Amino acid sequence: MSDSPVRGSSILVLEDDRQLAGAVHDALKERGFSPTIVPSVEEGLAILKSNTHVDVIWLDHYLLGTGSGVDFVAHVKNDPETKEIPIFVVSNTASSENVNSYIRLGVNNYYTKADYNIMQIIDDIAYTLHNPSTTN
Amino acid sequence: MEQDPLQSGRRLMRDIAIPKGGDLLLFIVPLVLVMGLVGIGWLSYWLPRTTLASMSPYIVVGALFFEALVVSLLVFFVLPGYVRFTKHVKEAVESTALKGERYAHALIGSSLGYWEYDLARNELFVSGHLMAMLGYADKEKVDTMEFLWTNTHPEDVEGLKRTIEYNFDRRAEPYSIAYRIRRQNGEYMWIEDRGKTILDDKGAPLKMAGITQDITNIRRVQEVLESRTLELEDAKTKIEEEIQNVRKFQKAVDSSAEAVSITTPDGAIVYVNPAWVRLNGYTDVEVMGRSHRLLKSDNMKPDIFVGMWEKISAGYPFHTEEVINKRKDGTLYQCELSIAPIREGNETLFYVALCQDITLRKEVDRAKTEFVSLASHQLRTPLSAIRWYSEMLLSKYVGELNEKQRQYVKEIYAGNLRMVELVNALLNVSRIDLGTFAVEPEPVSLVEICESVLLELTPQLNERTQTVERIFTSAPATYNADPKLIRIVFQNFLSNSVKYTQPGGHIVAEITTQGTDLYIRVSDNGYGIPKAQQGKIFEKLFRADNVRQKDTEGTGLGMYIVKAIVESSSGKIWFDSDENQGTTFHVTLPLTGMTKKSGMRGLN
Repeated sequence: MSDSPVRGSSILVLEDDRQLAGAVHDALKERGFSPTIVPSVEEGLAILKSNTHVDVIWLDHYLLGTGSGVDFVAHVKNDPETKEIPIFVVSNTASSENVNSYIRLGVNNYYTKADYNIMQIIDDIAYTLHNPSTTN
Repeated sequence: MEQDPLQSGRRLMRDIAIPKGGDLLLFIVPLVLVMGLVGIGWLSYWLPRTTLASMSPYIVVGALFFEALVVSLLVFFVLPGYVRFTKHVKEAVESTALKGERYAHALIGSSLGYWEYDLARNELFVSGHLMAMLGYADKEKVDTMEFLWTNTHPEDVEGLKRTIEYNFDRRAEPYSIAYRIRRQNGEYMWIEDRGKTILDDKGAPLKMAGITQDITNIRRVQEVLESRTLELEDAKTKIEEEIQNVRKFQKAVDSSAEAVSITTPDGAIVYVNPAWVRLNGYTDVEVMGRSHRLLKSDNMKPDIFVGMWEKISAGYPFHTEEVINKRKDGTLYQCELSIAPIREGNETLFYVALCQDITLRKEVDRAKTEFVSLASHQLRTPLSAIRWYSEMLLSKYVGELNEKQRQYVKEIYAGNLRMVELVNALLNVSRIDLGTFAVEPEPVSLVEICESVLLELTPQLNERTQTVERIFTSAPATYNADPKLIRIVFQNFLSNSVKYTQPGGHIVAEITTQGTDLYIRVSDNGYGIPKAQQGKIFEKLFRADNVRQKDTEGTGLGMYIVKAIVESSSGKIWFDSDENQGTTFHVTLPLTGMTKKSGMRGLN
């Protein structure tokens, strides 16, 4: 795994649950990503604006503060600077309305947390980064 | 005015008394004649021998003249009396005959027979007409009371005797009785006698006389009337009983807590009970003859009523919980509606509708379901944490666990997966119950989906050395289905078959088409479902007794979810099962595909 092509890829993680954020952080780190974890839409947008390089985004739906994942994706996709960044929604909210909104906005994939192993998700992300033309 | 024949007879007799001295005259005239002639004879013999011989012719002639004078005088005085008498007698005879004739005509004209019974002589006189009525020829003798006693119907004879006796005793007057009498030809006929007893001067019964009427026809009419009357009385009793029943039912319906209304086949209201009035706020007078449309709210889906009319006009009862009604004051309530068509033959007489306000119940149901939904959803976050951390522990990068530790973490991981499965099932059920689950069909390969489920089950199949037979040769290449939902169907059928079939058992999965339907079948030769519990198989949280002891992991929600999925696309689901023989589940879905349904959430 240390030979992972994603070594050093920066990933912005929007996740407000402390336990989950910890697991995601450790698992990404272990696979060679450099994760930045924020609990709210505002802080996520602030990172993007601060010229920090972001290769890929891991996004939960319900977040701290005002605004949900959908608002965040809308912002990212409306900004020419950030609209190419792949986004993976990892949420426990399986509302088909939400899923459809995310898919319409152009996210790469949508996962329900409890139904996936964390490594499955990270493998998918790594695969997408390695093969940028592919979208799921 | 006609006089009593007896009275007028007596008067006549008085009027036409034989002239006075008439009888004497009848005796004296011949006597005078004979004596005179003898005297004259003697004179003509004796006188010539006397001194008066020369005078004798003159004396004899004188005597002759004298006798002729006496006789003439006698005749002259008495004869007119006799002439008058003769004239009177003639009148009397004529008038009697006339009266007799009148009575005879009257009797014959009114078909009455006349009779007279002489008590002293035990003689019976019957008129010719009465004889004819009884079928006897005129000349035959019907002249004693014996005739009456022997020919009266045995059941009536005692009554007849008693009536006659009572009449003689003047205990019952006038004499009147109806009875049966045998005609000459042996048939019985109904006759009615009416008459009176004629008394002698001392008041003792002398005779009895009267008329007889043939009342066979009257009697027949009477009998018909009597039987009709009985029938009518029967009918009346029945109607009264019916009315009592109807009253009972009406009282029951009137006091029912459920709102009841009755409409004509056209939908015009003919009855509402007090509960209906309380529920809807309209008085019964306000709604009579009107349609239930007056309760219709704008929130109603019109297709419910279309479906309703289709069903009830075909004679089937209809039941729904989806009706939203508007009260008179404009407030809305959710109504559980049951309509039963009341039919006689092919004709619908009326519809009976029961309506219950289930707004509160629905709110409570919804609140419960929402609570389950929310709670399940909240459970998913910590479940995700357990899943991911145990997965990371097992992935070794934080260091190697010893064998025991590794085994324990695996158990934690597996337990967590079960919990995720249960929470997902609970969420699915709450989505079904809330009506918020979505169906999003797309062309999919059913065979692929089935194979992927079987692949997942491979470890269990191998462990239990069960074999799977696949009958996919006539399966459609693609089918318009929501892949998640159809996967749930296969997943439940197949995992149930694996779980509830003994090791070494055999499972069959079939996908094919049947007419305009897609047909899916999953069979096993496993434990089967006990007959007594087969009715509950699709109920929430049902688990059969015989499998609960063998497997503790089932949620009891799978079949409920599968049924909801199949039925949401107008499909059918059924099964046959024998305990220890196996179970077969069948599903048909329209070949056109599953029905799209927008909703808040798909099923997991």
